[in-house]
This record gives sequence, C-alpha cells and structure tokens, in this order.
Amino acid sequence: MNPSSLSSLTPAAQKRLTESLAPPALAECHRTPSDLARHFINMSLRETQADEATIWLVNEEESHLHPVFNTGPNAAEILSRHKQPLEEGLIGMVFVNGQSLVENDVHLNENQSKRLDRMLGLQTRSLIAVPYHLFDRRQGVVSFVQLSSSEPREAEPQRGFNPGHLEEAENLVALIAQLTECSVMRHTLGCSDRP
Amino acid sequence: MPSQTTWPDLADAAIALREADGHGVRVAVLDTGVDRNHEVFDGFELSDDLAVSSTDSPVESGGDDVYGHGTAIAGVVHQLAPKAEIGSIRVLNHRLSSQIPTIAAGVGIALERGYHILHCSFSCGEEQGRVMEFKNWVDRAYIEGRHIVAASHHQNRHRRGWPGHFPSVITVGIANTDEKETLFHRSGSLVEFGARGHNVFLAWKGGVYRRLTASSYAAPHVTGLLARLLSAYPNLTPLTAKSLLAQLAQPWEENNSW
Repeated sequence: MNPSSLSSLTPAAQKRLTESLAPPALAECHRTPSDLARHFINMSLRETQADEATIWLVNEEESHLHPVFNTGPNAAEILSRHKQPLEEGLIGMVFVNGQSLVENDVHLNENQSKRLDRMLGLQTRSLIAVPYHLFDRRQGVVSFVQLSSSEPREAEPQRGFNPGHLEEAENLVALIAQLTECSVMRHTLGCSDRP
Repeated sequence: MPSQTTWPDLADAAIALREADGHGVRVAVLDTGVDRNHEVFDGFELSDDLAVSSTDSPVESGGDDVYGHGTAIAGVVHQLAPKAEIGSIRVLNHRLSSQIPTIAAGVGIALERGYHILHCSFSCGEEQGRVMEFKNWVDRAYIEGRHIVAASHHQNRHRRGWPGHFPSVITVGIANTDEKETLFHRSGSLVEFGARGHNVFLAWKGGVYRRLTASSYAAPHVTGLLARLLSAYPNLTPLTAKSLLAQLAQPWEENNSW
C-alpha cells in the first residue's frame, strides 16, 4: 500500500487518538481492564508476592494522581474517595522523576504519604512503584504494595520486595501499556467502540 | 584524547582492587547533595559542595542533602575508597528529579574542576527522546579521559536509559550478593556490571541510616572500586579501566542475579 494514500486520514486519526488519551477517556479505559490484562495483573501479584496493585493516572492539570484500578478489597473506596497530590509521597515522586522504586519498611520513610493508609486503617510496609507510559508519554504510575494492619503485631511475618520483584513489576507495566496502546489504537482506527 | 596506557598486570590490578584506598582520585557525586555532618564522614572534608542550576552560577550547598540519596552514595564511595576526594555537585532536587540542562551544567563543572570519576546514580528513560543531550557530555568526558559510572534505569537490563546506555559508561545493576567489595560482569547488554544493591545499609541525611534497594546504591560500590584501581593506575583511560574491571570481576550469572 502506498503510504501517501493514507495521509488524508492522518488528521482524523490524530484527533481520535488525542481524544482517547484525554484523562477522562483514559481513566475510563483503565477502570475495566480486559480479561487478558487482569490475567497478567493477577499473575504479577503472585510473582511479586504483593497484596494489591493500583493503576494511577495523572489528571489534566498534572496536580494529582488518580487511582483508576485497584485489585484489593477496598477498591471502591480508594477509587471514589482518594487522589494523591503529585507533590506528596513516593508515588508522586516516581511520576515526577520517571524512575522505578522498590522500598521495604516504607512506613518509616518520612517522604511517604500516609493519606491513603490513614483512610483505610492499613499500613503500607513495602512498595514498588513503576512509571506508566503510553505512546512515549508518562501517564501515571503502577504501584504494588504489601500491607499490614495499622498497628502490626509482632507475630506478623516480615516479607518485603527484592529486585527480582521489581523486574517482574516493570515487565508487567510494560505489558499493560502495550495492551492499552493496542486497545486505544483499535478504537482510533474504528475497530472497536471502546478504547 | 585519553592518554595511552600499558595494560596492567592482572594480578597486580586485583591487589589494587582489594587494597588501594582511592588516594589521588577525585570523585564527583552528581546527586542531591551530601550531609557532610553525618558521622560516616567524620573528619572528612568534601572537596566541593555545590548546588547547580542551568541558568545561574553554582552556589555553595551548605552541607545540605535535600533528600538523603546523595549522602547514601557518597557514604558508600567513602567507605570503599576512604582516601578518594569527594565533591558534591547537587543536580537533583527533593523529588530526585532534575532538568537535563541542570545535569549537563553539573557535569561541566565536574569536568572543569578536574574530577576523574563522575558518579551518576540517576537515569532518564528513553521515552523522553533526549539522548543527544546526554551524549554531548558523555562524549566530552570520554574525550577528556574521565570515567562515568551510572546506575541502570530499569531492572530489566535490556531496556534503555541515559546516561547508562552509552558504551563508554560503566553501568551498574543490582547483583544478588551481600558482599560490598564483589564486582560482577556479564556481556549481552550495556548494563554490564553488577554490585550489591539490595537491602544496603546506607548513611542518610539527618545523621541516620537506612536499608534500601536500588541500582542507585549498587553503582557507588563500583565507583569505590574504580577509585581504588585508579589510585594505583592513574592513567587508565575510560575504556581500559572498564575492560580491566570486567576482567577482574566475577561472572554475573543466574545464581547471582535476581
């Protein structure tokens, strides 16, 4: 096919792609991941020994990260009631500086935001946070956590993440990004109704 | 051009790697600053303590670390090469981020002030498409015979980040080891070197210590070992030093990977 024969379609495709990548559309796209995406997320939770994973997307003003998907039992509360200021906490920092982070005993870190833990009555003990890119643009962060009750008992086992878990998480996030890009492109090209 | 050097005897170089102290070697830590009052630096003076921006002249940093990361890096280097000079050039902010021109300005200052090793425990992902801005100063350092040690961007060694994915840079990932003086090497990607980076006991700002995991904390182990080597062989060019470290390292295989 002659590439120039498609050039007249480019403006319309770019317009649809821009619409699909607008924060409200992108958030909607992540709220109901495909079965395949869910399969890989669940698999990575097992591999990393994480209790929960959350997909966070930056808002239009680039002031907050909004949770748009969470695998845990408090998902509805987290998604409806919480947003994380970018200037606060380690997840925001990972979004800003673009580098993955793995940290155990993260509750001892003064830079870690306690907002969400306070809201849920839990304590995040270990954190993996990986920047989330779509179409070469940083759109958010995917976090994996190990949790304990807000006042852990002595008997609670010490777990923690290691660099192998981080690699697993980074690979999963790259995979989710590719699945999402594929979905957005199908929508952009008119091959599906939803991005 | 980098000066020429004869290839050192490997057995002698291995002794230098174990026993040298970094004397005569100058290391620039391009990071968040260094808390010079931390006990790990007791009696040790930083040779520079600067805060850099891309638009203004550098200013004295005042012995401050805006995050803790730079103190951790300098602490590891100092423990491994206690006689090496360390200069703190603050280019990262309190969110461990920076502007690429700020980093370039910091590197320029380090080169002008004669540092032999530029330590970069940071990385920029390839998605930002800014590779040439890194290449400019990486190439300048190579031409001037200075050594760059950088942390890998990803745990997956095949995914690129800058400055780590230039061949003249010594790029370091996390090896599965508790030994702080053990260096690992493997071929097959530009993240060729591995060192201890998991649960590392680190000096932190405010006079405290923390246990943390990151390639950021693996890289200064290699910088410390490189400083030892350069104190015995000061004329090593960047590529000769990198090759020598590779020969002196243990094989980085499945049993010491994660």
